Amino acid sequence: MSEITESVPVEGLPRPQFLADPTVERLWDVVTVLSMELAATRGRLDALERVLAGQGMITHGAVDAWQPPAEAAVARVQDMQDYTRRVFASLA
Amino acid sequence: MNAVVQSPIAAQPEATTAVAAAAPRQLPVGTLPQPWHTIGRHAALAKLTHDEQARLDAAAHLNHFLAQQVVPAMRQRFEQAAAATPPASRDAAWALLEADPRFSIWSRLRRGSMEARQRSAFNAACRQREALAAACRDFVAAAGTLELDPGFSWPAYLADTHAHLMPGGYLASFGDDDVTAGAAYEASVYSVVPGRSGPYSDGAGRALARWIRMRFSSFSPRRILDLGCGAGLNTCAVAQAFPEAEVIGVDAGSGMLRYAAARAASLGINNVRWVQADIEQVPERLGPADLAYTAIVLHEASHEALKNIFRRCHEVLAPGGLTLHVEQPAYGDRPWFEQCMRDWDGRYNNERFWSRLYELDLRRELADAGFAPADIFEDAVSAVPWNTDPLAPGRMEDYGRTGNWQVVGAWRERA
Repeated sequence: MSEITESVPVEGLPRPQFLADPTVERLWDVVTVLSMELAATRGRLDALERVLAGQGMITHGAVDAWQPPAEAAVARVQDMQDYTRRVFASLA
Repeated sequence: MNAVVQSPIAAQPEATTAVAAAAPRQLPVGTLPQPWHTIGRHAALAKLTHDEQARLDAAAHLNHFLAQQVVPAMRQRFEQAAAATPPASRDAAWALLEADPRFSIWSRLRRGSMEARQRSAFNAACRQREALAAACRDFVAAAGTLELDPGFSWPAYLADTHAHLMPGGYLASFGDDDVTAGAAYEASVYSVVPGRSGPYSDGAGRALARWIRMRFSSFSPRRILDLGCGAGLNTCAVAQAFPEAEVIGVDAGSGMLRYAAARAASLGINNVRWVQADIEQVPERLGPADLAYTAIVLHEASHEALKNIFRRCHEVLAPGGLTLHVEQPAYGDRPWFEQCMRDWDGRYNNERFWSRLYELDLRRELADAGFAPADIFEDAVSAVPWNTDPLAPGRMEDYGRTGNWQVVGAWRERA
């Protein structure tokens, strides 16, 4: 994520608070975003499995047995940090 | 994740590749949200990754669930409370509704889904803003239909309030050829509706054109002004419906207008000019017009601006010309629960002028602007159905999101 996208503000009315406890309010924010991220992941996994199955490239247990090579492992660390920032953005 | 799937995925046709004016294919999913990938393609459209699309789709499904599964239960509890303590005003009805914990969580999630959609679409457009600018530049230059005003200063109310939580609002612009605002707008609006306004999100424009044909079949406008045209989605539909007319889209946002110009050109729509101006002060040179309309714009204008827009419509119309304004219907004497549902955006979706607009009698406002009362009318107008019927029996209307509008208009007296 680039810096500019998060720094562009939404001007206008104050952000409403619907629940008496602000920590619970934040928790619902997290749940909302998390549900979207999980949906994206499920969709990607479903697409991936269908692609691989269609090409006869997947075997049972292959994903569990897989270990990332170094370059992929680094990319996955950055992906995980971007993911965490999106999910917990309301706390920032 | 990306590293895992490199070779097999790369071998697949790229679902997000924009193909100019490819035939849109919406899915037979009834009233369920259309997935984002069924959006109509053109050269200016942002290219969303799988996950960017999936986030927008997930938010659309959350909103669908909230409207169809949670609102009926909320209404039932509201009606029980209202039977015990009948509200005498909308504020009293709001108090009853806000006492229901289910409403609080529903609102939190509805607000959250709007924030997430706007931010997701904006992020997607932002990360490719240079590619989008490059994709649009040649279309804009070749079309020669864009007239920006270097000295333009936008109305304060647009700068102060970024309607429906758009980061940066309608005026966001990150450079001389930036189109981020328009690209983010079209990407998000398709998800917000979702898809019910057709692949090109132009349901209001198509509905307006169809309504004119049905009501005034002999009316053949030569010059049409779309005031507050934004990304030009509805403008293009009107331009296609009146191919002999010269259509002028007027808006404050340069990022919106650049996008609109490139989008129209890449779709082969050549009878629109795009002019940056304050629609409260439509330049004299854009008149006289035979038709001056707004499509789902007035709720984003202050009351003072609305008065100026209506007055300017009267001034810029040719004698015998027509002004039309399509909006969600006024609250009027609708049931309290429906009024509160419709009013939700005014309270909680950063729509500062929403509540006031739907309390107004727009016919009276047109009369105040100089139109003769006998020439003023009001009618219902609905989105041209695409593959779905949003109000099939047993469905809950997603108030404020469904294409069941009212049109208020007036003829200018002949000289």
